[in-house]
Amino acid sequence: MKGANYWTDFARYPTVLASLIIVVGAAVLALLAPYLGLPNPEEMAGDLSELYVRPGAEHWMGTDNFGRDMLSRVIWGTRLAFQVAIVASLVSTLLGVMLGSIAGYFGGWVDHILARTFDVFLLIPAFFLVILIVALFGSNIYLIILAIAITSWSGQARIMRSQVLTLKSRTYVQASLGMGSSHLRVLFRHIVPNGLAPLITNGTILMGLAILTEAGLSFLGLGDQSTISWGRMIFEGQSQLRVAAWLVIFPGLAMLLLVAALNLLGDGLNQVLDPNLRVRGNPEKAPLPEGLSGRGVAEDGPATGRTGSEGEGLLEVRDLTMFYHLGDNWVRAVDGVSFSLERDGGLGIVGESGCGKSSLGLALMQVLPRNAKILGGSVRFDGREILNAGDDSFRSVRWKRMSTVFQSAMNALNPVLKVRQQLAEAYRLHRPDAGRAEVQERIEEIFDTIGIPRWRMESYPHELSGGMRQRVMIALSLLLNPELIIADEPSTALDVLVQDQILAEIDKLRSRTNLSLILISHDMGTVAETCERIAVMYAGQLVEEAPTDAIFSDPRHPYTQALVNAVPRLTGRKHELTSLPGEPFVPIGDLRGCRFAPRCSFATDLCRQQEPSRQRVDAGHISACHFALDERIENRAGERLLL
Amino acid sequence: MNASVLLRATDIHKTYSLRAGFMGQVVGRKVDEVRAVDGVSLELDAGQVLALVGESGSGKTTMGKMVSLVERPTAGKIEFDGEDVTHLSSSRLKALRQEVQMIFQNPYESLDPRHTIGTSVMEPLIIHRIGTKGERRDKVEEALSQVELRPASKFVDRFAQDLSGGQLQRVSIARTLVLAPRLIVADEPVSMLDVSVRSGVMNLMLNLQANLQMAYFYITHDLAVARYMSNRIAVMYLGVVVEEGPTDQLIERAAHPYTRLLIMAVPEHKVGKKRRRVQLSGEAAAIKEIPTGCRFHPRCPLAKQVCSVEEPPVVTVAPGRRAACHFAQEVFDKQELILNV
Ligand SMILES: Nc1ncnc2c1ncn2[C@@H]1O[C@H](COP(=O)(O)OP(=O)(O)OP(=O)(O)O)[C@@H](O)[C@H]1O
Ligand code: SF4
Ligand code: SF4
Ligand SMILES: [Mg+2]
Repeated sequence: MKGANYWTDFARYPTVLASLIIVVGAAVLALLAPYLGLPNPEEMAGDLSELYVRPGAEHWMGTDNFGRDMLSRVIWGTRLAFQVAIVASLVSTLLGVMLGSIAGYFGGWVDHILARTFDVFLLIPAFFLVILIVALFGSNIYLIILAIAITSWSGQARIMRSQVLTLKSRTYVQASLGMGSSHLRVLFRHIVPNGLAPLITNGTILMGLAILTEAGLSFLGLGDQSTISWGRMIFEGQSQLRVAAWLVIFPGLAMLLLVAALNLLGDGLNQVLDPNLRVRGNPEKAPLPEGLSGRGVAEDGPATGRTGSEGEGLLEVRDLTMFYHLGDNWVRAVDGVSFSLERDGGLGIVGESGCGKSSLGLALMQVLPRNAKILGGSVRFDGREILNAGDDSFRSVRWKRMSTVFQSAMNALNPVLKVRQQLAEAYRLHRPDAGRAEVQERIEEIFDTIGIPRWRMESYPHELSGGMRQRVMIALSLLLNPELIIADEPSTALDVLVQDQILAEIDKLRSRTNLSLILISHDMGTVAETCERIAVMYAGQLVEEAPTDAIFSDPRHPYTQALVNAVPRLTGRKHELTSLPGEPFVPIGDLRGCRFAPRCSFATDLCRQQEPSRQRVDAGHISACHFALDERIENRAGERLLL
Repeated sequence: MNASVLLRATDIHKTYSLRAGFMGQVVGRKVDEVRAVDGVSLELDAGQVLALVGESGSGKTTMGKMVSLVERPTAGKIEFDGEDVTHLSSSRLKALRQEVQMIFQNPYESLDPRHTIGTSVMEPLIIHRIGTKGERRDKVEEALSQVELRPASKFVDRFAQDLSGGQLQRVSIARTLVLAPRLIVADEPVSMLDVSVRSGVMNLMLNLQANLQMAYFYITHDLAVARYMSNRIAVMYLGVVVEEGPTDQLIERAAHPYTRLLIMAVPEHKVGKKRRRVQLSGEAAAIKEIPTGCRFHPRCPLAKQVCSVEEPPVVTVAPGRRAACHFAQEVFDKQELILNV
């Protein structure tokens, strides 16, 4: 199965495939040389009546000055090329793996000494070292191979060392040690095999290098006289270049082809073995899944309807749809989401990891990753369509009237600027003619609101605790007095006490100003305390939306019911937690029926066939389940834990 | 002495030194020391679950590494089943590893991606040379079905990348089961799982624990999870245990201001009621700059003069209940004390 993946990957890169074919073809020729009926050039006497025959039907590559067939010489030369390449690359890789992994794994002074040794070897100009060795100890093919390996192993060792350094902290390594594995076992069972990929790549390229080095030596006349190598053929042929250029051209071509193919293959292996280098999809070119062509983005401006008329909330979202293009597929991260948010209102959006909460936030703010595409729907802010309304039109709204705190935003501060500078810059960007005093005043004001001591303004981000940094981010989003703020997990990853303080600040802020809030979180408790309404998301869709109390006391979607009962509580009677079978659904490709059906204990054939529509349970309470009003689901809502 | 104590840690310290770097050493810069665990004593009875609760950086994971014998304490003593195991020879240590197993936080990194599930679960048996090939295979299949990965034959030949987080964590649990350990140290085993999957793994762990009579040393930052999983809870703050006691009693009636605040800070929805929010002064302290006296004093609403000077003693406020606070008894007796600050 793994193998199959690699093959399809190879097929994606035609040059890699071609080079693979060349290398494998050459290897087969080399192996078969003795069986092809080609005379062994070492025993080949040569035919004096056939000196310097031009390439033709009889001798495809002509003959040389002794009347020997060049084709068989070149093919036999392939054997030597492979011997040199494989043995040299293998020896240097083995040495590199051994010493590199020992250095990386054991660290300390062992690493210190070995790492210096690698560096020293890397500094020595390889070709001259080879020449030196051969000049000192004579020219023997095994010695030449060894000399090549000695000059190239340290590169492999360095790669291995850095691989081991990262791999040794992997949990499975810790786990194996904890089970009682010896260091050697851990090293060779778990670390080296997982770190080998870049060494294979580099080893392939080394093969080409070894062939070139051997050829270079032969060309200088330092090659082993008893072997048939392409380098020696070129060396011997050069004196007859005028008479018989083919003596040089064919071995030269063979070498060029093989070395180039090995280099390309090395690069290709790199791409196939390293998933980070694989291509992402391009949303502009990919065909859309069926049934979507009908949906469109709403027209610009007031033409589509009322402007700020009564009955319309601050934010009206209709059928918002945003997909990611990934490989050959579309991930339906936000799929037909509708809701409205009143002025002063607080809406919590909850759901499990990957349900599309963050994507929804991104779509609302229209800060899209490159492979994302908004496919339809409408987002009206204060009565005006802002979705794809053109950048200029939206700019007047974004940040000034509607701003956001992104997930893990606290790492997004610029590390080299003081907090005050960053806030001032942001302020001036939108209010270019603000005076110094005005800016300072506004920053002080906002720091007070969020509960950051004023002297913290002069801090750099790294001098702040996680909680403080998160507050700075919230301050940044509030700087321009927006009417709506979209906060994505603003307190996750913070400790409970700090999280509570931040939520308290947000709470206070909301009661003091008329700020509207969309709070995105995986934690129902967090959202429940800050928002009056909750929307539950599953697989890209809103499955239930209701006042906070109703979500807990009368949930009418089986998924909400499960979610509420799956979380342990700190107070009240202990009850057995329920869990759902299977895993959260990833909405990819063409879909049919209810996305929750595979995990739903109420699912019927209807559910599997037909997507449920939004059922009205109560005023302001909506559930996207065929059976939202059915007794069984109503009863399940009643038999839930005690509150 | 209680005969059924399986694990006893006495006054454990663990200090990591952050090197000043080569040049730093030359110019004689002092080597930074981090006291990750600073005098912790704990007991865990056979067949029981002790939850170690604390914020990130409080030293829970370090403590877990020491009781699972992966790291040696800088000072202090660890006894397993009455035997001092702090400084064991490597051969005895290897034998002991059969009895103490670990489950880690990150399921996606807990299994070697190049090995099949079957190979991974079999690894402990190979390391300890247990059973013939056939017996090993049977044990692996049995363990997989114990963790509800059924039919086991459907899973043995798959790779980690083909499984979801919840399934991977079940495989990790199965891998500990093949050695029939008496103690499992689990470091946040469900915190990276999806909510709807998490409860299944927690229930599984509880069932296995009851059926196989194992003890868990369960590390978590989540008090509600600790409540669901454990018989006793120990709360850590900046390298020390500030309070310890039976789970229900401790949550019902905390004796340490920190525990009390922690419980109050958990956002939990109650229909029709609004929770009082905790208001703390100061910022969370970092382990590198441990405050003098009581470590919690810069944030503690009850702190008095004495707290910043004198390290609080460990007070037994009730049978089986201890807390390290100058005013533990008062906090325990008068719960409203904190609410009114
Ligand atoms: N840039 C991207 N390219 C392709 N797919 C993506 C991209 N970003 C997110 N996705 C996928 O879209 C879906 C929704 O992701 P999203 O980040 O919105 O979820 P989330 O609910 O915020 O999750 P979390 O709780 O983990 O933050 C997931 O299946 C995710 O893997
Ligand atoms: S529509 Fe059917 S499958 Fe979907 S949640 Fe309702 S009952 Fe379950
Ligand atoms: S010793 Fe003092 S500062 Fe520490 S927790 Fe008790 S009251 Fe608070
Ligand atoms: Mg998210």
